[in-house]
Amino acid sequence: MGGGPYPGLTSKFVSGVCQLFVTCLVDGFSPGVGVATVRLLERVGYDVAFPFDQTCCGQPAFNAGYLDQAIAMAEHTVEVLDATYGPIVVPSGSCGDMLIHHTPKILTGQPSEEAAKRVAARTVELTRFLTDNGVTVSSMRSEHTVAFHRSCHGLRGLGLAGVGEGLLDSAGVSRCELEGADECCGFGGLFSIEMPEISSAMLDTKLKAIEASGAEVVVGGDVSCLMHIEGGLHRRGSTIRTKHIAEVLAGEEA
Amino acid sequence: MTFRERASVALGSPKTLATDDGARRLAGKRDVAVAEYPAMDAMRDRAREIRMHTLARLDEYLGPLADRVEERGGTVFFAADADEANDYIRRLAADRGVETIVKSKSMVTEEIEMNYSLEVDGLRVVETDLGEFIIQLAHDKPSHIIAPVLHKTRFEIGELFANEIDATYTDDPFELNAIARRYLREIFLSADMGISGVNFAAADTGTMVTVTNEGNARLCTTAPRIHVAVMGMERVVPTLDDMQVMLEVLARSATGQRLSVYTNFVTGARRSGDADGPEEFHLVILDNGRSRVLGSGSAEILGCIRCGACLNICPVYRHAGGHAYGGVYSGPIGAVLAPVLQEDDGFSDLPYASSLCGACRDVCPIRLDIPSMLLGLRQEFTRAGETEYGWLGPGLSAYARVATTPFLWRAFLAAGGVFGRTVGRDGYITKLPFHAGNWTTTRDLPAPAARSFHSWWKEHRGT
Amino acid sequence: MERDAFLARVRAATFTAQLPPHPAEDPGLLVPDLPEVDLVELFAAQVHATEGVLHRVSTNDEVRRRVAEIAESQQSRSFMIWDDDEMGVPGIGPVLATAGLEEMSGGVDGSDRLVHQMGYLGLDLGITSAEAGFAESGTVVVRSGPGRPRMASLIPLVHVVLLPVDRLHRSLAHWARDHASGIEEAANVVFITGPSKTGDIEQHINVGVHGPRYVHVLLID
Repeated sequence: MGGGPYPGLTSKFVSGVCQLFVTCLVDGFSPGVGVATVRLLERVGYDVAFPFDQTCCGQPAFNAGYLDQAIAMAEHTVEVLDATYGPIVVPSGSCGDMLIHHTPKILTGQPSEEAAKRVAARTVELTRFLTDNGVTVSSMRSEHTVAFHRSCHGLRGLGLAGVGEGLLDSAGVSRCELEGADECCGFGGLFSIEMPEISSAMLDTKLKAIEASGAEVVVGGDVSCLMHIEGGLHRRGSTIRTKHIAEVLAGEEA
Repeated sequence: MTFRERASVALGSPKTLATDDGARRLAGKRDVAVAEYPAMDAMRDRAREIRMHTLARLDEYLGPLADRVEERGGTVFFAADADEANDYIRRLAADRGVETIVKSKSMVTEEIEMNYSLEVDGLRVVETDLGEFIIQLAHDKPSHIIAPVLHKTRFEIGELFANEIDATYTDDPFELNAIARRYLREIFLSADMGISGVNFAAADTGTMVTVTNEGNARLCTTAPRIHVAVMGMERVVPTLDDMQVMLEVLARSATGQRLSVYTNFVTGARRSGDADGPEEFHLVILDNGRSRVLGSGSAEILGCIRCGACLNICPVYRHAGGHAYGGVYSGPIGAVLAPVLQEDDGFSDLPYASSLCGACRDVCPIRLDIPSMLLGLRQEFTRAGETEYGWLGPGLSAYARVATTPFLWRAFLAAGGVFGRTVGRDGYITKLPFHAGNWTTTRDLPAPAARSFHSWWKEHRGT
Repeated sequence: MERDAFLARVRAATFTAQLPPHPAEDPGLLVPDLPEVDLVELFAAQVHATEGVLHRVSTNDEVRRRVAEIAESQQSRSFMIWDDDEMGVPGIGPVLATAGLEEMSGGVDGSDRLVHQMGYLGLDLGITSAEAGFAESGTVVVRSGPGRPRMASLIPLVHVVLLPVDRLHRSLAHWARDHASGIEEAANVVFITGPSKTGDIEQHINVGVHGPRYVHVLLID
């Protein structure tokens, strides 16, 4: 158990600057996740900076096959982030995967190629960042049972299997297993409106698993999938809620 | 019809539910087999190296393969397309007085619609793999690379056997299996020609390997006097040793078996003094669009060894079923292969039939990066203006313009907040117009926040 | 298409092929490090797991007796067996003949092929030897050739295969390292892993589709 002003939070790494890349969906739809991320990182001891000209990493266009548009947004993102220093923390496996793996690829041969590689090397997804820095959040009171949704790009693109679950478990959150935890919820970015029937069927399967799990809250590391799940739950009139893991770890009631 | 239309019809139908069930069962078996084999990762890496090495110099291995087969007295025919392959076999059948042909399961012969072409000539062609036999009786199409009737229930199959081959109705799989065994037995032993697929061909020895569980490929390549093997040209591996590497990963990935029941190696026709085996061996090496795939950005897909693991794990395949893909090759592999291999057949929407979840890449024994290839095809079709989703273009261009201009971005967020407050009810939007309405048919959309994160930061942290 | 034109087209495609990084030389076989195990134990477990039956026998007498017992318990009335020289254990055929089973010859040639093969419809029992076994998968390697008809392991309901214990290998890859180069020396070599199976109907595994429904492996010490 660490000392300092934040009982319950310990870290072997307690100072330095980190940059927050908040992602477009958090920015526009779930700013609370950004706020929670800032508070969490500050409690651990980081000075959090927010490059103010950041927008969207370009993944929506990239996944839809619109390369020119994706490159434009990727270049802008790289330009903004490369002008900063320290680790770039992203509260999303999906955008993290974009910045780390795909952005350098689509900017190969572009003027920002080298900058993209530098940015990729500095970028780290939030739960990985916390785990790598030995941050544990302990003694959290947990009123509700949560199920953890493993988002595909974090899980497979960044190899985050078990990372989010580990943080929740060490924080003492009451967690239940989710059947088919490795299965896509059907969001897939613009896939959800390009192939709405299949996307909805996949969501339906996911919601059934969530309902069968006994969870009261679905926790995940990506606002995108959570919005999809939340939208499905709300349409069904379900009382199950969704939360980003940053919100849970920052001490907001789960 | 598009994938989306076909999939929409298939959703939740009995045949799709059967597909989902079967695919999950196969995926589960695969997971167990992989977990039990500590060398799986290393073997996959080696298998991938061999496949990619081979594709990069495919012609240098196909030539020697043909030489080795010919040295053993076999005949090799290089078929540029389906017509050439079918014509060769028709002419051969006519020349040798063939009446009945038995076939073992082969995706490549499905691809070139060989049965149809031979039947037009009055030949009797009998599929002998139980699944393919059922497909043939039902005038249906396979819905899975290794489990053709994944979409059928035993009740349907019972009725089919009762109606088509006068069997007494039963829905007991064991009985159904026995009926097929009895029915096919005489046909096997009296057929004049056997046609098999090829899982791999070794260039150093001219050896073909065919992997089955039922034993039908062994019968097809033993009992008839003529054996014709048909292979997609990418099936060559440099050596017999390389072939063993493929076999170590194939069955584990396909059915969760360590090896399939019959891993059958054929090196030419029977030799002098041999007790039995065919008198003639012919090898048809087929291009049929493969050189176009090889020369494209999707070349890597030719490394596929047709295990079906990507189908079994794919949530889109499980929900839509194999027939939704509209062609011979379904699932993630089909979504990459079909649009390039059969470029004129209207498969250009298949690359969009994926949420890019990456599960296929995770289970692929060759570690094929299917999501990247799907993305590559989406880009190619977008550039060429051949996409169903051209309507995304103007929106994404405007979005990119906003997202590359920070002050516009912040204005956009503010406008989103107003929109959310105006249109949202209790924080949710329940109906959206135009294509965005595709979201709200089944899901609510959490409304954009009244204040963006940018706005919060500015107020609480300055800048 | 002419071979040269076909290959030229393929060659042209390789020039523009976008392939991931790969070795310039064929990397060849990989023989994995697998945990040390008792080969016989593992082989027995895998034969069982694949729905075969394993028998441990030690003398030629015992082999002959065991084959006769299997024939009796399976109510076999006819059999096909490889030539004595190919079996390794002589005199199995006469024991079965004495027990009243009819022997079917495995040799076919052009003229009477059809008639001869139709006779196989009534074949109950096939007896062969194996040149290797893989413990990891419970597999036997059966090589065809003169005096070694393929049909003996293919057509009958019951296949009995003799495998001397010193021919057991850890896995396919281990065997390949030492022996695979011999596969092309026969027109047909088959790895057999348990009885014939299908999972085509609702993925329920059924045994005995086109090949044998019962596979008995006699492991000879």
